[in-house]
Amino acid sequence: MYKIFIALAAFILSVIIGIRYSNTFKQRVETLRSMMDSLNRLSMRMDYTMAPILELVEYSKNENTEIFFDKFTEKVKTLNEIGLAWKEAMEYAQSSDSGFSSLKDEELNAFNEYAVNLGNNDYENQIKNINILKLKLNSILDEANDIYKKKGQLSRKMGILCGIAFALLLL
Amino acid sequence: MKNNQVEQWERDILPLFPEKVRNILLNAANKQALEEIRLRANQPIQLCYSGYDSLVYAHDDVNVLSVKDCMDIINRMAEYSVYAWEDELKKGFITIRGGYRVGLCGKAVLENSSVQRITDFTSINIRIARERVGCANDVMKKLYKLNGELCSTLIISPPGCGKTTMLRDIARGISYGIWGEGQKVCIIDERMELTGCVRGVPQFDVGPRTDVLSGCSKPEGVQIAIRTLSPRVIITDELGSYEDVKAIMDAAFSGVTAIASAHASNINSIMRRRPLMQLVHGGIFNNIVQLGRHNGSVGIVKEIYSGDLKPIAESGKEILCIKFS
Repeated sequence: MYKIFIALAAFILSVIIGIRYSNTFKQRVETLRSMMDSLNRLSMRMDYTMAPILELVEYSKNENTEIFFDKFTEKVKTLNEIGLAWKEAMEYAQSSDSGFSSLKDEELNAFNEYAVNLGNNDYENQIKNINILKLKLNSILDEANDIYKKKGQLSRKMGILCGIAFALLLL
Repeated sequence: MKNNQVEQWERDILPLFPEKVRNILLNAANKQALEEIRLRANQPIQLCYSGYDSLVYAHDDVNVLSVKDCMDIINRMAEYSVYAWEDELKKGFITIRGGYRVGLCGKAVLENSSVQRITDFTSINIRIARERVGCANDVMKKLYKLNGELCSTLIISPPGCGKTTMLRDIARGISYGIWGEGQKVCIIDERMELTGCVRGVPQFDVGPRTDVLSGCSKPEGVQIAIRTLSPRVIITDELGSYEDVKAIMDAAFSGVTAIASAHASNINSIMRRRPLMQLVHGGIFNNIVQLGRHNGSVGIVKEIYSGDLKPIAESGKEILCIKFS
């Protein structure tokens, strides 16, 4: 009876680890999708209203990107420099327990490069800048999706298999 | 003792400046009479009052402002979103929260011989916007017909004599119905100075029956107003071109009362400006009010003329409308 409980616990633990590991791939995809969604909203709103960046950000954020955009707004007001504020907000979001922690250096660099010219030139260049980032994100998103499909499923299956193996060994 | 308007502009404008400039302005004398703050890269700060100015140097003998400081100030004014003020920047100004118009100077970028934008800003001229509630009271009594109908009026003066302040008070008064029945007013505010509109929101009280079309050219604005807003009175600032004149004529011939301003030092100057001459000869305006300065006060009604350019009886006495105490 005692052995069965331990074997069951080992199985559950292994499955959880597998799912959690798989979720990091999922989180990356979801965060990238959310950022893409925010950027789409931002560019549409910019196109239609030509409102200042902080106002656009308010309308562009969603559940997953809120943590980053709120920090960005706060930082702009204190730092008075938009590129630096973006970078620090990104670092904050990455260090917090949010989907941003699953982003890789490649994505972070793309976001930070985008912020260098954010707000400080004309509308045409702002839209070009967003489009460049969207293109980069699109290819990153495709790749992240593929990885999630392969590695995500694999880690879940591995979790289950390892769980069964541990359980059998303990029994 | 600070008055409310000084507190207001200190609150609105000072956070936009670097600390050095902020300290200079906090210690400036006679702040209630300050009309313009002029900042230039590598130059002292120029503070312009009514009729005189003063140059303020930094205590440590270092330039008060660098070129980078100028750019930082403009970035803060534009809320870090230069693209949002693209059209205004092309025309060399932006209007910031509180309704202050900021004139800018720098390097013009040309395309097909026309200015596309101004970059590398080196001069910033902040005009302290003033709200003088009731400054048009005395003059407005003379601008109504005996049957209570409002006359179309042109206000003329050299720059900085209170035309815009007076127009704003006229709009507010007509809209509230201070001098007669309250009427629907439409303000065509091309350069956002009259209402100080920031993102479409007037920063001054222009009355409850007033619609504001900001950032819109006068000809287009007048057409939109007539077709969709059915105003009784159209108010606009700084007439100058033939297109502006045609727009005002369209409004007048549509049965709308037009109240406008134009840069002209006196009635003879109007006659030397062809578009304005056309307007006067067209009999559009029933009255022409000439404003001026006297003893450091602005907004003094020097003379009121009828539409046929004859001084109206009893208008010879100067009326002090705007006084900085």
